[in-house]
Amino acid sequence: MSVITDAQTSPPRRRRRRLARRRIGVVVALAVLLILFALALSAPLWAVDPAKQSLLDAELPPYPLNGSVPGHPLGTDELGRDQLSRILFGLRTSITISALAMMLAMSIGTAIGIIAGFFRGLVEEVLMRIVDVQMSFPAILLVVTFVTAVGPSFQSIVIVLALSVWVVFARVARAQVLALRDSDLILAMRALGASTPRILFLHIVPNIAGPLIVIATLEMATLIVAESALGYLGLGVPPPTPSLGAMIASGQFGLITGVWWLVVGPGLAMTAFIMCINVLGDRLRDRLDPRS
Amino acid sequence: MTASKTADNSLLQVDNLKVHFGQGRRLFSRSRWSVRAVDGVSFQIREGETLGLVGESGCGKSTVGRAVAQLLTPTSGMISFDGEDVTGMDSARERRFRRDLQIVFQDPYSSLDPRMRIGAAIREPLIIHGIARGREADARVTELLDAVGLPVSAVERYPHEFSGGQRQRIAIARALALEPRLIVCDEPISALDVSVQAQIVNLLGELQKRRRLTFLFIAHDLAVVRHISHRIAVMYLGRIVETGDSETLCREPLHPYTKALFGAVPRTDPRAARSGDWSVIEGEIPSPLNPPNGCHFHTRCPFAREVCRHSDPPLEALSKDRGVACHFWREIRANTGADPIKTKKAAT
Repeated sequence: MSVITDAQTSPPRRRRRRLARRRIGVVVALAVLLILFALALSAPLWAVDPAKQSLLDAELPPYPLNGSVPGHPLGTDELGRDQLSRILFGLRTSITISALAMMLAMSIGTAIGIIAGFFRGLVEEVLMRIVDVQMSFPAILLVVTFVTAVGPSFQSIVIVLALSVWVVFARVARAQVLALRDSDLILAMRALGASTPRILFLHIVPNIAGPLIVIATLEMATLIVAESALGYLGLGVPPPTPSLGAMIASGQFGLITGVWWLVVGPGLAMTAFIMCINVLGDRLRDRLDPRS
Repeated sequence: MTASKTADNSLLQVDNLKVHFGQGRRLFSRSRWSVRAVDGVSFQIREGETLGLVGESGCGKSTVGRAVAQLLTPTSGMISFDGEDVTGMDSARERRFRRDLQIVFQDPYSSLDPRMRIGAAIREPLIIHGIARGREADARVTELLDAVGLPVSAVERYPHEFSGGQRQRIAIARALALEPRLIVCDEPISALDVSVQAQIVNLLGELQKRRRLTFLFIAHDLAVVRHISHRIAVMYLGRIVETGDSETLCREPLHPYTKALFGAVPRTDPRAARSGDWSVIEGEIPSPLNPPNGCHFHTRCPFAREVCRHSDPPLEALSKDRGVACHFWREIRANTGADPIKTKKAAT
């Protein structure tokens, strides 16, 4: 008997446990993200100037190690700059650039996708062929080429990164609109006399927003990686503004000489940030389905 | 005939309506292709009556409904509403027309915005046409919900919280908000449970009486159409094959296709069902991409002769309301005893 009851109760229980575990993951991800955000945003208020050099304090190890200094809990780099402060300021730049690029890409991509999907015809052909052409290039190559041509600066990096991912939004938006535009809902709205802008903004945009928001969070993670890659290749925000990618690039030789914290610090910060965003993005995808 | 207000106060007049889809070239084929969804349909509906439009799926009946509601542009033909040609209206006239004509769709799951509360959905037509706003609109919404038998508490809820029948009530309430004169009901009950179907049919009947509504009721189920309609038009492959007031048409169907449709209605009387006195037509409805020549029905018609393959029978008017499009309806009526559909089935 007990075997039977066990078999009967175990699936829901296991599911509940799995759900609980996932919820913990989401809570942890959210907490880590919030802490990183808070630290990065408040950094200018309390952290040491990330550009302040002191060659006497160069390559100090992080806190619990021998020779660490209380003023530099994460150690210092080869120019004696405070690692903690540089990571936080680097994170700040990464988040700002990626968020701006993401919003720009989302606006451009969604608008173009909706126009293509809703109006069809020649407009759609032209717009979607542009998307196809761009999709056939490796994004990073495109970004590197553009940044090299335009020259790295805060604005140019935001714009170039946005241009590299808007196609994703355009495709998703178009596909969503295509599924909707011939639905009974839109026909019913037409029959009620609703104008095209009303249909677009009141019925189409809210109904395709869910998938786009999920894509936006996931693309945010991609953009942070891309921004760091640019920094690593020396095409990121110009110094002295710290950038996680540039820090890893300049610190990588420390791995040979035993100064590992120059790479591990910014690497861990970035990984943690991206992982948390992805966990939240997955959770968002599950939640934004109105039927559940 | 021009679209003047006809003597028998018809509210909607459709003349030789044709809707062909997809005229154009495909990438890899030279030939032009087109689906003749509706191929020369004429009918009229009088104020306050219900015209049932019946036919198999794919016969073009929904397309007729959508063309009437101006949701697609007909290839040719004329649709006049209250004596006014409504094809190719400018936007101001179209706006006015929208208030007079509404449509209720088959699937209440897809015709309501899943992200809009019921109150907002029903209020929307009022706002679009500037009929009411604020408190006044709230009052109207309450009244409309009441008219379709839903509680006021529905206002704050989302479509997914309702059953199919309730959603169809919501869709009807939304259509009623503009106080239309004609409502196109595009298979409004086909997606519902049988038990709920009767409720919606009764609701529509009741609303018609109280608000003097006119319905174009599209369905594939003859039993339902017979119950709700004053007159019936039977469609087959883009054409109307028979019309008549519902009682006569049901008592004495003339067109072989109509006869067959009645044969397809399941009998509730077990004795009648066992007697084998039922007929079905064989085969599938031909593709409207490539409709047969002559009478569209000849490929499946047990009475078909040579002439049916070449010549397309016109809709012959027998009386004011009665019409049939068949070369041999007289003969078929004369020897109903030798009805090949029925005898064939009875023999097996």
